[in-house]
Amino acid sequence: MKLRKSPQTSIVLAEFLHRAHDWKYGYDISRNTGLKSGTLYPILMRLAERKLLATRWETPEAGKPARHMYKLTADGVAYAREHAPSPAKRRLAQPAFSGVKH
Amino acid sequence: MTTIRMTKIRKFGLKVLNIAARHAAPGTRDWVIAMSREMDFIENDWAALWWALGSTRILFRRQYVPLADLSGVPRAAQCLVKTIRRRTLVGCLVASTEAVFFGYFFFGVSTLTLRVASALTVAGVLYIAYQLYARRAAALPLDTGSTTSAYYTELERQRDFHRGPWFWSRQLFFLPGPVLFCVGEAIAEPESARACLAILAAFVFFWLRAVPLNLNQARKYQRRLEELEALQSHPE
Repeated sequence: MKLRKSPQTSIVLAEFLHRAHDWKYGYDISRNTGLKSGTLYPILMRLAERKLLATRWETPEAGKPARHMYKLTADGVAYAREHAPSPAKRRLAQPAFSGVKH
Repeated sequence: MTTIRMTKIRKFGLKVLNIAARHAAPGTRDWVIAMSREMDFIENDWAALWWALGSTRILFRRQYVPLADLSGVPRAAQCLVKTIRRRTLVGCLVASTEAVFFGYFFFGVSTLTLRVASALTVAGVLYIAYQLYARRAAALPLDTGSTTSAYYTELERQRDFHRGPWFWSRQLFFLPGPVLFCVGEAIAEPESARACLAILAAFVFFWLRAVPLNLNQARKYQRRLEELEALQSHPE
């Protein structure tokens, strides 16, 4: 399974390993990793293309648009464990954007 | 959840994303829509705008869409033919322009080195034009059965265009002309040597860059071929 192992990809993989069974939103990943959308989404696309990442649309609640959610597949978890930096080495950058709404 | 006011900045961001979604490749469109949905959760207008502008970057990425079954072959084959036709047209136009440009130099320059360099460059671009023409898209039959086999053959042709003798001969044939041209120009006009060196460095950079790009393209075709083989052996 070939995937370009950039430092940004490692950061994203590490973020997915944190509570690996939860589905995550793109903006939350961006905030937690400090990666901008133009960097983050190509990584997510590559991971999904290689079947390391599962994607699904959230069931929309009334009045809210559906969001795209992401979670590592079993292969993805194994790959991430192999390639993600250890928590001690992991550098969490400043949030890419401020002003998130919870 | 508080309501976000639709400011002009945010509206502009959304407009950018809508345009991006319209122009995105089929496999990429969902991702651009996903990005636009996230904008509703960014409170800061400028942050939302930067988020939206980031979407334009993924427009340059063509998401690989795997074939779900053999019924998708005719459409994939049409896409391939369209891409190759565009490549042939653009490539031949660029090559012809370069041939005319360096042909003009051939008659206009004073030194033998530059004349030889011009001739080599013209020969190089004409060889590329020949390759593009020789590997132009073949007409594909319309029924699924014949299309699958023709699509397979076409994928093999296009894969070989980007690797092996086809690719390396193209690379090697194109190299000497421009290199000699820069060297010859630097010798003929020593005051422009620095500019010639810069042009030479840029040329070598793009020449080297062509190697991974072509090999990567060949790998994509190879992946599609393997996918097609798997679907043919297990059509369900």
